[in-house]
Amino acid sequence: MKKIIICFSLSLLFIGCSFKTPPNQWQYNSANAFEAYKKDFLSSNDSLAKNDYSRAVKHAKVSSDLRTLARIYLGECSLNISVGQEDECKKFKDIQDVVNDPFLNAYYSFITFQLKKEQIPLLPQVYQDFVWHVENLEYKEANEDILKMDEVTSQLLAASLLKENIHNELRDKMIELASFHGYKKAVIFWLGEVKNNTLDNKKREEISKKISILNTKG
Amino acid sequence: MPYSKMKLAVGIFVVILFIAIAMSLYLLLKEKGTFEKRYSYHFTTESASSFNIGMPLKISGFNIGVIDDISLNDDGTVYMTFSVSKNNKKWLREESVLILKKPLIGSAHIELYSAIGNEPLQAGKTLNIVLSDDINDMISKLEPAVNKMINIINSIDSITSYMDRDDSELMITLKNIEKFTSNLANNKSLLTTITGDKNSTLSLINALNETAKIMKDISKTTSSLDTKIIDPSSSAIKELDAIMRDVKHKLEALDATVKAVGSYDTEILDIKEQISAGLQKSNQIIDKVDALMQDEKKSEVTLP
Repeated sequence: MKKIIICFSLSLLFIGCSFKTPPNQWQYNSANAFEAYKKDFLSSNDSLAKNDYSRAVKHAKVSSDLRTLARIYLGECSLNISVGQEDECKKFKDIQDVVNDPFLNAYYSFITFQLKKEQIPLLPQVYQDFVWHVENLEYKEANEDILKMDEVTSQLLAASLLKENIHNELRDKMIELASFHGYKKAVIFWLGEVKNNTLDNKKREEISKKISILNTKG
Repeated sequence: MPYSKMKLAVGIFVVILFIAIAMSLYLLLKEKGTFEKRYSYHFTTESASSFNIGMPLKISGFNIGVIDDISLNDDGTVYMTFSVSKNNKKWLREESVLILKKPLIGSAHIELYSAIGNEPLQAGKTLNIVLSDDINDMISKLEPAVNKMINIINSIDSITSYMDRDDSELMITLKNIEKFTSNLANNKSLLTTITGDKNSTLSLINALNETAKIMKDISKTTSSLDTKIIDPSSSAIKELDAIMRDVKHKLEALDATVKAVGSYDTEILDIKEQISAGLQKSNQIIDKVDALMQDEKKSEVTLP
């Protein structure tokens, strides 16, 4: 037993010594905090999300390179939009001219429905096909594109942007997906969307009850 | 070393040790004056209280002897014997006096007041002793002063009671003054002699009568004022005074509270800073945990 403890302690010591803190540790910290923020925000862990977000911003504000900060502001904005909350991305707009990143500008235009054709190639690859299909009013393909996306958050964002032209199966799929990951905010949003787009009163009541249960504490 | 020699050495050592101890003891006792010849003297007192065997005899604060014996005489007095060493015998002279000192603070002792210049006192002679009790002396000295104060108070009391009597000279004088002033007001001839004119006298009398009337009116007015204005005003002022006192107390309490709050404020700031530091530390730990929990290391914020 003693040998195991000694070996374990020595291993920990060596592992600890083997790690070298990179000079841009703040970027790693900021990215990690924002990843945590995404999960906590979607899971309705608001206090934790607030802490994650403030940590991400704090780490991003140590450099004159404000692209990380701009990405955080845009990420926050897109997450709000992905769960149906209105957001004009004011924080990003305030620093947009200072950052002046064409990729980020394209992303901003994309989530605020101001995207121009020439900006489409500047968007993340995951949204390229989706945007082209939407641009060409090919909504069926756009719906399929959403299902093909790897990241859940990308799916949620694209679906919320296309919510007026989405079919019911995809709405149900979004509920299923969000439920599976425990993204409460997205679940409630998509439950509301299904409720608004169904004529079945029984289903509407059922959804209302579900939303009520989810919103009730304790 | 042979055994016989060893025994001799031990014997010599023991003998030298005993001699050394005995010498030391002797020198010590000699220095203490045990072997000196002592000279005894006597004195007689009314009571043995405050005396005891071994009680020191002092001159100018130095011990020169002790009481050796206390015995009761047939006539009820107490016979005491004290002794002094040869060196201190010189202090005992003819007509020397002993005084028993009982200070307020410290133990009682006998003080020798030597009559330097007189013939030395022979051993076995008797001396006079005076008892001095500081506390009793103080009381006895204060007693006449207290008696005098009592006399003065009695005198003041008798003077005031006499003055208060109707037939006292002061009262008679006051009554005479009163009669004189009333006669002065009523007797026209007397006034005429002063004024030198009848009309002036009449005018003066009228003026005096008028003054009396005015005085009565004023008295009435003041009495009405007393009930209508002064009494309510007085009570109002009293109430105002009470209110102001209350306000003062409350302001004092408020001042203390404000000061206390001020001190709490700094304490709260300290606590806030400490909490902030604690949060920063916990955030650092969370950052590390986040870094460990992430599947892949990213240096760029990933947009949804």
